[in-house]
Amino acid sequence: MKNKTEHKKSHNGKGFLCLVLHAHLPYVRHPECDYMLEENWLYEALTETYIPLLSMFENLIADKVPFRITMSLTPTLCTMLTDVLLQERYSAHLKRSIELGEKELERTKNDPDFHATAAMYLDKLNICRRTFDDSYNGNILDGFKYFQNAGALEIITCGATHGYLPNMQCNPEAVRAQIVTAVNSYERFLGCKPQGIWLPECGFYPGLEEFLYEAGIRYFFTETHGILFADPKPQHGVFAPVLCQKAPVAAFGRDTESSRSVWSSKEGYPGHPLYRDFYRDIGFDLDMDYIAPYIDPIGLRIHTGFKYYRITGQTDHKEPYRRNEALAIAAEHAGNFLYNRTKQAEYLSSIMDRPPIIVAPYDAELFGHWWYEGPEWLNFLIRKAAFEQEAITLITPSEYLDTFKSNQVCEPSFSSWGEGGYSEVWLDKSNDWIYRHIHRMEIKMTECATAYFNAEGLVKRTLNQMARELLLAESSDWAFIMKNGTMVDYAVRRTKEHIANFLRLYNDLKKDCIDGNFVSLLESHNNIFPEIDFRVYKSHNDGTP
Amino acid sequence: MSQINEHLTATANPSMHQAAGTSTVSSLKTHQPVQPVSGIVFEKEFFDEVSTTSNPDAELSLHTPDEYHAEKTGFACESLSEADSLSQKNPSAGPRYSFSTEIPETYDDFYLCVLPRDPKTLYVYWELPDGTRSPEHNFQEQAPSKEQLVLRIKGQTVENNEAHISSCYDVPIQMNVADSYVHVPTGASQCSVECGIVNELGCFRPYSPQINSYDQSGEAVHFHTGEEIVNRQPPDNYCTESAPVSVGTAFMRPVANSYSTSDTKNGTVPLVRSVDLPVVKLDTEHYFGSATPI
Repeated sequence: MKNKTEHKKSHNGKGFLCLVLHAHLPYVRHPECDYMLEENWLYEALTETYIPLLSMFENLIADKVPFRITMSLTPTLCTMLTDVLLQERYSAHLKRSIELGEKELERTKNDPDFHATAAMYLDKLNICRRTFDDSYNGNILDGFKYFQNAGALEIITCGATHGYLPNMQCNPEAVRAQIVTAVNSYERFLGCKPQGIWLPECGFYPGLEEFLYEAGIRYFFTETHGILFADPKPQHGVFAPVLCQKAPVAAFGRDTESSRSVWSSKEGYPGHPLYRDFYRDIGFDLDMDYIAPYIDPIGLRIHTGFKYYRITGQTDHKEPYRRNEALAIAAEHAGNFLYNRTKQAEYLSSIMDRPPIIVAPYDAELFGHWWYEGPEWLNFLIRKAAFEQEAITLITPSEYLDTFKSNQVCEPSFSSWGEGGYSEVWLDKSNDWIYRHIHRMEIKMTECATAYFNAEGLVKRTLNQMARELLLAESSDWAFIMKNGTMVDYAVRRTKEHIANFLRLYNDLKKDCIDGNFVSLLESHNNIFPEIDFRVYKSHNDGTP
Repeated sequence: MSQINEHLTATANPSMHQAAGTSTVSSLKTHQPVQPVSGIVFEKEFFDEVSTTSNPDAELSLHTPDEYHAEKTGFACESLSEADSLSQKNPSAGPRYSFSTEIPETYDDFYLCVLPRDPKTLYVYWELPDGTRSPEHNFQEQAPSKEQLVLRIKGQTVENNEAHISSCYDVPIQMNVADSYVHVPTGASQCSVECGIVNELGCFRPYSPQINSYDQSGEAVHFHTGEEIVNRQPPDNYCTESAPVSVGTAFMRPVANSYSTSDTKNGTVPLVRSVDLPVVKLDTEHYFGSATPI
């Protein structure tokens, strides 16, 4: 593996490619239940995305393939990955999946259309189990940390609970708390300060950079129009970072072309007919007697991960999945992606005074979970970038900033990567009711953090738990789910629970009748951010330092 | 009581015990008597876990379950049927406890908040004190020729560092509605939203409620119903669109609803305090950028 200096010296191509994977899940942990459907989000992402990505990184290192990937691991995800309860539950989930895999191998043994696929699933699940239980002893965050220390990954942080910051701007202390808590959490998990941040939902508003700078963040990413509509207009568009006006924090803009080729449901690679279909799953297709032990215990059919068909086309009729054919297409798509980036860089470098940086950010869960062959596509892309061309070099934002220290100063505009490009997703008829409560909580939190600044003992614990409840209520995921219309009951319940918990703690605090049992229960249940200090919410406008 | 004890036994759950999972828990397990609580069902180990797994600095203040009251705590454990909990096929026997989801519909003080949704739309929500909602102050029920509570949306353009109101419109506030999506006036480089009252002459004056005022101990010392709002004559400079506009203000904080010592004169808290109306302004050009990218 090359170190950073060697990496810079070796670049003599036309431009840089900055691959960014945003790994995030909302904080879902239910010790009060043996089974909670929503905890499957983590288990599915572990099996299909996080562990396959780690395996891929391991193989790249073993094969001495140089690579640079920027990856955001949100504080909620890091907390869940290191939580003993969830680790044990995932381990049990994996055992059940392997048991199902063995049954599937038997069930399909005389069916050539499906048997090879069943064997593939079982093989992958066994690799998962070995990676999870044996290699990392249940804590795969250690794996990501290893690759960061090896110089291959640049792990960045995110908002503490993925709160959508533009909708908090009326309460700057709440914005600050999301960022400072995230930075502190990162330091606890990874042992150093983050260089960059993935703004939740890529949500930026002018002035946000001041909070980032205050927290020691060097850079963030915006949606394309966040840079293109900047003031003054950026000379290089999204192909070079800009430094914000109010604080010297760099903003990298998302490249439209590279995004579209992966994200677009019409033009994007993941929609190819030979790739595996996501929706056909034996959880829905097989007899209840057979599948019952592997779905929701109340009998609700769910995805099991065993899917035997390819996308085929826009038809209900699906053809059997052929792994080798799918991998061949993934390699082809990786080559196509790289070729297009090469041409893009060649053109851009001819009109720019420096090599362009092409920023390609994606949800990490796209790779493997939604797009089953995504990790293989990424694997092919990295290997081709290393050995089959010289025009493009993989780079991380901090490496770019170390190399190109002088950048244009301008103010990016309000933007997000949601549908419509602004706040349309998180501020909608379906979810706008939450802000009345969340803003109220934020004001009360600041009021209490200022009034009880020197609190100790149970009062301090109460205030810290209030901060946790507020942060959890702010998760953009709840508003997103309400807007999308799936699992709405859960999102509404979670939002209301955190609001109610907070208000109860607040009222008890004000009446000087704190219930220690209730505080303890909440500390146990919503146990995120053990290091939190409620004072982060203190008002900065009261004249005190 | 005995039934609950039986139930406790029936709902014992291995994975919860695993969840405790740390050696520090075991040393405390024998010190807590298992006592059922009215309306709540917990397991002994659950209480042990609660008291030890979260904050390392936490005081182990957990009381025995007998001291715990469901009405006071606001959460309750849903009972499980014995059949469910014993069923090997169904490990998901439901939650052992659940949290309250009861939240207030509104909050009783004046508050105006504006969030930009997109370059053309703002989301505005507001809170009004209960006094304002009483029938005698229900502007909506008064004759249209009298007074109307409105949101006033002003679009401004800036030329030579001076702001000029380019357009202005009012959105009547219905008393049973507490939020609205409003349009940013076309072509405005800045936009402001304020809440106020339009009288029969068309004059606009800011809504200046006599809000709840609190002393430092948090006790309400006075509440004014807000009758003055209707009867007060607006100052001349608030009439129509000629109101002075400051330039460059971003989002303003909501009205403070508490006093500090500096608010008091001679150590006494004033009985009535008028507050400045929060005008929420948005520099649209700066905020959303130019509509014509390179």
